[in-house]
Amino acid sequence: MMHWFGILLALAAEPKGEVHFLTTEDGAQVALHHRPADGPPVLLVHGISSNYRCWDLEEGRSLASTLQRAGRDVWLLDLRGHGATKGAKSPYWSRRGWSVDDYGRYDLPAAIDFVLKKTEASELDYVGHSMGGLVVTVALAHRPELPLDRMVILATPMDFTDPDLVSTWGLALGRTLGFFSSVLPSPLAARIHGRFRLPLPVDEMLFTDLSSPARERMYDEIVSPLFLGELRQLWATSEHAYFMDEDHEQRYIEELSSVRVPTRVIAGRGDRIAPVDRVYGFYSALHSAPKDFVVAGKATGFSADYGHLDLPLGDHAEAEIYPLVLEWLTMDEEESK
Amino acid sequence: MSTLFASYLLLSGTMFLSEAVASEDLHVVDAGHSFERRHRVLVASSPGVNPMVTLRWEEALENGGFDAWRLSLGSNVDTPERLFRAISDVEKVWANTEYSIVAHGYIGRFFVDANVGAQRMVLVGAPLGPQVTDTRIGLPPNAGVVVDGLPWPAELLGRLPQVELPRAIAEMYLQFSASSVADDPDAEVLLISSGADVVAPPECVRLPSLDWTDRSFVRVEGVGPHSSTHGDLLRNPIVERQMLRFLRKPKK
Repeated sequence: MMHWFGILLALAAEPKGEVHFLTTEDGAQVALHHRPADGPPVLLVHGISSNYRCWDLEEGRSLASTLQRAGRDVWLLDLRGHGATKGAKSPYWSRRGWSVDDYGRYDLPAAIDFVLKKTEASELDYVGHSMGGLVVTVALAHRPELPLDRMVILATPMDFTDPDLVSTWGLALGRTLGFFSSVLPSPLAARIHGRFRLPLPVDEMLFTDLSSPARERMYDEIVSPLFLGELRQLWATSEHAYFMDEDHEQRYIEELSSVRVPTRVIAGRGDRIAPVDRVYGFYSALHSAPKDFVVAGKATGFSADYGHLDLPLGDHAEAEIYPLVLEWLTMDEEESK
Repeated sequence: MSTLFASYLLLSGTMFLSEAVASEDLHVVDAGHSFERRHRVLVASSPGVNPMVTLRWEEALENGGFDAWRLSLGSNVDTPERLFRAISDVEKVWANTEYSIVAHGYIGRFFVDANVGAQRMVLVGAPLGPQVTDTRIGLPPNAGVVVDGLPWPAELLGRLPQVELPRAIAEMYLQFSASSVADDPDAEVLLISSGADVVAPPECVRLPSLDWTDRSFVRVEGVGPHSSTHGDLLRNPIVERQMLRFLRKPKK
């Protein structure tokens, strides 16, 4: 019942386009929101505790609309347990353990296979925000032949050496709280903070350039639950200095060295969650691919020192970030070298 | 607060401004009280920045049990080579004396490159490697032999009183940002960096020093709720706390 209610809610809230629900190889559900156009397909994947609306919040804050207007066939993924799939039935212990590995091994390949089948394209472009960059790293580690043409990665940290309080205590706190529940009630907490501005440095952590009422809307519509499994996997980064698989045996950063997909990596100068130096780890690990690194900050000619959520949603993102994404996706191989 | 402290000490006649001259290019000035038995800490700011900006650190060090000294460069220090030589002269002033260094900005990089014999170094906002993308650093096209201050747009540096500096030294700053990477110094080093500091953000501090044998790194944003620009680092209480904690650590 909850499942159907979730789907109805998703359809009602859908700004435009259609939504497809898929079942992954391990039985979980993901959702693909489609903004159709005649051009080549591009898949957009959100970050932790987020959903597809981070790409499509409202007019002027919608990378999806910008890409669609440019003729790209846009697909926005809701990973399991996020956005439109929140109400999907799944056993308690299974939900509790959902990790970035699950998103990369099952959710993303299912979404890519579906889009390619639906569009009859042979490959697609990929845009990932924050954990969305880790998800594609996991997917490529398990399926190196994944048919990706070009990638843009926003604010994905990959180097966790010199752990700081944000990367240790924040995740440790999340993990501790997570023992009391399968998921952290982050959407409810976010709504309360969005309305009443609790005296916590949450805004400073998330953005520097997101004015009201988009701020409140973001807290209302984007924040999704945090799963203990993903927190546990991310928390291990501070212990191992790198993003590891769930069993702490595989360093995913090493897998990036064989990735050949031309990739632009964008970091925000004001990002407290994925600081420039940690995101630079993603860029520098890509040995084999044509690549490009951008720091979005005042010192590099941008209007603001972009924070973590400013890259997809900030007040200046439409003017400054979306063109960078589109430019890279439409660049040919020679230009990007 | 720091200026008030200094004024009070001067007026009450309790501040000794003893000075040791190593060469015509280097003077070290005993800031605040003179303490014979305390560990000496040389406090340095970069050419192009008003040397009084470190008063607050000097006060914190003196109150924290150290004997703070301020580095002062002669007016003839107009090239990077001469600056390196002047810095190396610290050895002559304090031969056979244990001392540490606390430095803000570019001069910290000069201390690393000169590999002076300090026991410990605290480098705050000191770039150790190049910027990872193109930035707005640069000299005005009509720059003469002396330029107005650091080669960055002033609005990016926060509250930072600047003074003139020789163009040749400003060009060295440009070179630090463009290409060169610092070598591992002999001293034990604490590196403090802020993501909002355009001169020395963590990618120009943490990453080039990852393989150093004896270094600690503190990201200002990882400890407190706010970021600090290059100028703000001089007033950030987190910086003072971390500096004192590091200098007080027992010897290895």
